[in-house]
Amino acid sequence: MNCNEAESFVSVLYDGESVPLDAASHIQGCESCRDRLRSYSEMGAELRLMASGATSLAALTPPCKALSHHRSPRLAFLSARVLVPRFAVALLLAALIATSTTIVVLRAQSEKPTLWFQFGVDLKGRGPAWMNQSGKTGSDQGFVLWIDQQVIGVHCHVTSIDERRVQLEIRALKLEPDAVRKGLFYAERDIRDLQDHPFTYIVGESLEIPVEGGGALVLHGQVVDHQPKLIWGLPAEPGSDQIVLTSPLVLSGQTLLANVQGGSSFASDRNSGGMIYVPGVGRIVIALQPMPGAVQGEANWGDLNFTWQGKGYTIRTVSPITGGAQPRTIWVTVDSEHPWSGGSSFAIGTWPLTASSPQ
Amino acid sequence: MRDENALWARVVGRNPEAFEKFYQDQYPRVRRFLSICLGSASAADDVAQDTFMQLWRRPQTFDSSRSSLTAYLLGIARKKAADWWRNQPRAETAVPEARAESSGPTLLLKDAFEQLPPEQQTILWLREVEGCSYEELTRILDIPLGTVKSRLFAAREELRRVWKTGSRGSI
Repeated sequence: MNCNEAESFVSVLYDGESVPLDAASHIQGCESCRDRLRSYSEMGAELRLMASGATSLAALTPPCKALSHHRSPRLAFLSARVLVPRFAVALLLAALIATSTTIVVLRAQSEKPTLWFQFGVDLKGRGPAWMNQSGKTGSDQGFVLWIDQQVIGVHCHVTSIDERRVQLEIRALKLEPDAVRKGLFYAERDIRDLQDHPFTYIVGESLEIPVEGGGALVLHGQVVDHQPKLIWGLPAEPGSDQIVLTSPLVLSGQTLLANVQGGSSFASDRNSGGMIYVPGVGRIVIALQPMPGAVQGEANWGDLNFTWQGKGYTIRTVSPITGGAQPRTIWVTVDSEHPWSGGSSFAIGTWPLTASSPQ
Repeated sequence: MRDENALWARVVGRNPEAFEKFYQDQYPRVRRFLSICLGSASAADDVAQDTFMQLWRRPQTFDSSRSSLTAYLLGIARKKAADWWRNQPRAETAVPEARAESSGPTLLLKDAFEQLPPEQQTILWLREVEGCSYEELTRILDIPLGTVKSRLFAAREELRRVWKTGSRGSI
């Protein structure tokens, strides 16, 4: 498959839909198609920013004309002709001017964006899962977890969402270990026959979900006012305190030093940074705050540029590396002496900024 | 969803208070969508009122098994917008009204977005801002799934080209 054949699938992939395997393979290894994917992500974010601005400038909601004949009798005076002394009109106008600011604020608050629930589930007893699923009210998500030799099929229906709690209906079934090999069709069929169990998720807390067949899952999530954009389970719009490295390339000038195709890293807060090990270069650690011995670099959406010992480097990823206003300063260390058990292999992961071992 | 269905059941039962609540909740979204379709705030106000008028007159035409209420509402708004365009004299086109100044890359994208044809603005807005699924887009825009995908791709490519180059290409 070439770029011309694959380009329309980039749009579908960006929308979170599945694409044919040959299209996915091409996009993963094609810089031009990755650039297109990055552009779509930037444009989506900018459109939502634009919409947020439009929301704050929205006009007042006028009276509903469809109900003009259904005004309640106690409001009838609004449309009736009434003789009023002039001083009363002046007082009324003054009162309206004084309260107009309040009215605008109240109306602005009445705008209700569509709420989305972004969540992740993991086996009970493990750390919090990446929130790689999302849905709005009425939506359904089906997925299979394959963790620690266990295969668990999950179906989740989002019944309702408000800022503090989310009503869910969930089925979770422990599958045979070879379910993945047999194909997900069988998993879907088995899960479909189960009964939904209602749950209420309180934002900020964890929700335990029993699994049919034994064990339990833990769900946690967040409510956001826009559709979360995820690429291969990682946030396409990371927060300003997060670092995401998705299938990064490491370049120096025109020389490609590393193509960590299919590898990814997600530092979910400032306690950790992104890490790439490149044979011949060393261990590169990327952080959002100064570190001992670090140089300043510049992150600009999917590109990170920095200079180390007089040599310029670029790390290029499929999605924005971090959030916040771009370009933004970022700190980088390169440890060329770092002994890596991987030898001649690339490595990618997160790096604790207070300890010395990789996560 | 259950709250929405309960509210709508009251609307079908000709309850003005229920419809007023629905109107207050949905009017800003419909007006914003129509502003994109029509490029004119005043026209958007008129067509939004027509949209709600139709819903109030025939609320029973909504079938919750076929689409969400929001998708159905935006579908009516889209058809009303098409009617509005058909009734415009051919020599005159609506000029987008001045909007608030902003700074940074948002301004550039806003400029690029406003250069797109209305149908491309519409599908991008519904997908990226309203978060409509492919299925909802097929119902709102009354086009098949394959066309939704191809139109989204074409709209994104056109926006990308205009955004990067600063001018519209030929279609």
